[in-house]
Amino acid sequence: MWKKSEPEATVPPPQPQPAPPPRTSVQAARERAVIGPSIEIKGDLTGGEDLQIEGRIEGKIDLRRHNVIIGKSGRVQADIYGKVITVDGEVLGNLYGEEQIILRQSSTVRGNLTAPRVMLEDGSNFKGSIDMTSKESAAAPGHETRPGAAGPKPPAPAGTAAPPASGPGTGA
Amino acid sequence: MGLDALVRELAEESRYAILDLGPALGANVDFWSGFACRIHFADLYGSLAEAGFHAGGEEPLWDSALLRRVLPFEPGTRFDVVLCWDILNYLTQEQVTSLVAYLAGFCKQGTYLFAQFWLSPRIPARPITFKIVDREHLRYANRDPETRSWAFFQPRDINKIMEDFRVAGSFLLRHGIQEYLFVYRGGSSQP
Repeated sequence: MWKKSEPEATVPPPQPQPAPPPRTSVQAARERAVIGPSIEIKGDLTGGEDLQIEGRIEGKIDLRRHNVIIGKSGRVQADIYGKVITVDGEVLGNLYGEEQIILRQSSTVRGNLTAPRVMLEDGSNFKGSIDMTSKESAAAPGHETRPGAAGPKPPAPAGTAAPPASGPGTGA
Repeated sequence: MGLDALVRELAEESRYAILDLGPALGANVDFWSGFACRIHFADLYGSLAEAGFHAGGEEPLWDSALLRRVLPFEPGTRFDVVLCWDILNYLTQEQVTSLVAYLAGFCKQGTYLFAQFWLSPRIPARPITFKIVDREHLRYANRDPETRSWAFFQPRDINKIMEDFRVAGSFLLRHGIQEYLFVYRGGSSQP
């Protein structure tokens, strides 16, 4: 019934495929906007693509559906709203991550972090509060003990003004 | 041990406001993330050093303005847990007394305060950074081999400093540290 000896259909040997060309910094830059180290912006930033900041920003950054990277040379004094916020540089302000906030080893952050997931690498210099309540658990009945929006103020380094208190929930 | 006793008092489904007077560590954030909490890292020792303390020279004035600067909380803030670790060992009795009174202003009845006191007259030159491995294990992240003298609080001193708190648990560790879990009884220092 079955011809065991019938030769199986031969599969042609795999041909060597040319390796995909390495991603160049130009291509990476095309996938997200980059604010270079010599750029200084005062005001609000909004947009529809990922953003990498290597320069200085003062104001507010609102990219809730996109990723925000504060590069090693980035200096930001602003509240930041993003999907995933990654900090390598310095931030004075509150961070609101829709999905995650990552503070790298080289980061210095003074402010409050709000995101479902927060990752601090050892060596990161952070002072402030971390609220890891997801939207789902925030809606559930809980044991919240604080009245209203009272809570820790974002700490300000000596000689620096406290970050703007705009944005939701600065309370502990 | 003290941490385990604290965690046994906490319910995972509840939401807690935690004040950690130590520096922010990823391992500790990961640990507390299981409690859907809001945790505030104050790095008190680092903030005091920035303010000029422990620098060897004349120390700045220790007053309420300083405490408001290094621990800047909005009026009405109430924490459920305060983690002091071993930081109180690095202050004088007067400084600890005023610090605890200040912190009591941000506690509510039932707030837990976790603190460690050395039992030896010499202690590491700087506070130890404790990484939480799990509820029963802490790891020293940076124990300074240099030592210094300290106020060397006796149990009666601790009772006096913590007069608005009751002792919920006390645990002697092998390393010569006595851990205390205090509970705030409520007092007259609410701001």
